[in-house]
Amino acid sequence: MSLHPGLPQLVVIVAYLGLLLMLAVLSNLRLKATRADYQLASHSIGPVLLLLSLFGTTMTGFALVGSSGEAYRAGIGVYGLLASSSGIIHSLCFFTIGLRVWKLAKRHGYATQIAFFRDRLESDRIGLLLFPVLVGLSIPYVLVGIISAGGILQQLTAGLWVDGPLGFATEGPYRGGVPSWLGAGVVCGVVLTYVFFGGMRGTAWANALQTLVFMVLGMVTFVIIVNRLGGQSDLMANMRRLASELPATVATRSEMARSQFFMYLLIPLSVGMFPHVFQHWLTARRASTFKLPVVAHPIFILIVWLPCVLLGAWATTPLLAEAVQVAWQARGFDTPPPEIPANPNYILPYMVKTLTPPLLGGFLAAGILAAIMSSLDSQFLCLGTIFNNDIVMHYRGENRVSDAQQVYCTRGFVIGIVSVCYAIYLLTAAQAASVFALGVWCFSGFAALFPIVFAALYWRRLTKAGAYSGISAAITSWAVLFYFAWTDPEVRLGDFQVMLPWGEQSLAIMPVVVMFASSLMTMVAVSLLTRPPSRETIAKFFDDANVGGAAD
Amino acid sequence: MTCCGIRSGHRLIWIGVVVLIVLRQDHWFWDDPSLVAGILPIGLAWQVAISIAAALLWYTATRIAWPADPVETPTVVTHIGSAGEGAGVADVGTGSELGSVGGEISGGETSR
Repeated sequence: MSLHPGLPQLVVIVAYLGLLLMLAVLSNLRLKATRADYQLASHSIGPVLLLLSLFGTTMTGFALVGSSGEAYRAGIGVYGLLASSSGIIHSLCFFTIGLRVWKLAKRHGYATQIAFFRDRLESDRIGLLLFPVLVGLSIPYVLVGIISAGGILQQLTAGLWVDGPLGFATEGPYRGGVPSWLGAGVVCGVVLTYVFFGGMRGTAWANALQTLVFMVLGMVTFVIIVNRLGGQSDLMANMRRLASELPATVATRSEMARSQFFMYLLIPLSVGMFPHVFQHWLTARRASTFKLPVVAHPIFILIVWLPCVLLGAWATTPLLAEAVQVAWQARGFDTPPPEIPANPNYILPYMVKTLTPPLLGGFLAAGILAAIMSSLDSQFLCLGTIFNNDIVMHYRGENRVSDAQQVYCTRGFVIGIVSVCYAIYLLTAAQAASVFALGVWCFSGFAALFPIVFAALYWRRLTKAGAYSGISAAITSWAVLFYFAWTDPEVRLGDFQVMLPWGEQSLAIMPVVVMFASSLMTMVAVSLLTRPPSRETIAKFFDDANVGGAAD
Repeated sequence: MTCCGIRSGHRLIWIGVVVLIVLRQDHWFWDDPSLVAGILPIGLAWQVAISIAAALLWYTATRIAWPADPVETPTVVTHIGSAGEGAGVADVGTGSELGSVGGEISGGETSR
């Protein structure tokens, strides 16, 4: 077996995964024997932990791998598309949705979105519609994490075991690296383990640790790669050199449609309907706990996205190939360096692998994996919670399901969902899909459900039938448009648009606009045509005394 | 902050959100490749400024539009209820409604 500098990276990554498992064991020791503690950490999370866990949850492989890849492909405009807009909209959702939901949940004891909607809509069966919708839309989100994790591990360990079995020896630029199926599977296994052991408390701790890890290591990565790319004496000189080499199309948004840039504003609304974010909101100790996340979230997004977007943009300059050549020779290799990857998903790991020392590259890889895992864990926990509370316990009856049965059902369901995602990853073309595009489709679906949660909290006239029809319109339009986008051989998944006739020309509309509009219009029209909710429900959800004076 | 004070604070924050959304569109630097401090393309620098302005706006929200914490009334039970139209999640009430229920009573055993 011939060893390669990929070995130090692998050792650091394995050590980091081991650290996470230890954290799970520690948090397990502090876990109280109550469902409220397992699912919501007994509503005990303070501002710093809430900030770190919420931020870690919303930043995925999409934020690091996707943003740098999209900047590499389409230029600096990607920051405005999603980072600055998320700074405005995410905090708006925390403020208008999260805070109010937290107060209602605190008062009425909700642990999941479905429990809240059942009560607000006076409908037991809303769970039967919402459950598959939320689970179905979470699948592409989980896939984003799996694709990113498998790809990064393979790329960063390339050359480790070139004659190894099980796919190590597969021909290609990443020959010898941990096969992507194995890397993705191990990451899923580690996340599942610490979620099962630690519950929400363990997940919040792991998220906080991972958020700090990927933010600190992200900045270290940025400085090291910029210094290698620029080849000048100091950081500022390197940044100036790189900036001066940027092609005009990358340094501006000249290739981007103005209408599309505006329509992207709808995408961050998805955070208002993410079930895992909803669950994190409910962990807050008190209303004032939300202040720090609301204020600091835009700055945290800036800290993570700006370096990634700059690295992706600067990777388009000829300086990348030169810097890689120099770094490769400096390490004493007589073989040519790896080629710049055609897949934008791989541009950040490529730079980490070729431009940073092997040991540090391992830490940086751990940082990227941290960002991925800090979202996967919350998704797994949340899927298990809604299955347990809203399906098993609700429909079988609380007293008819033993604790042991709950454990088996919940874990079995989460493992089943992860297996489905993993199978999609292995058996379909998902591996080649752009992380950015897949993420945008997933967020579009959740954004289309935003009118439902906003109306449930702020519009007294929202009725059960209105919500059913709105949710149905959102998911139907999502499924139809995604089918057309996935099966269209001539258009990339992320570039798919709906063309509306506009005089003699066509107006290109992003799918999220169609989904959002169909959900909103259907919900409003049907609500106005059907009987309003009962006075008791209105009083319960809109009387300030019951909502604790939340924002109206 | 009084109720009316919070309402006017809310109005100001909503106006701030709309202004930020308009500014984010940034038609003026769309095709401009010039650099700020020789490093950041001006279109990117503008978006960075929007992020910082958003943080300032939300800080203002915590000062002028933040609702008071509700009176701490412990949640009694995360009750799941049983199936049946209209059953939903039972209203579990609060300590104050149910008398002197001290502390939190868990919603069943853990699913560990």
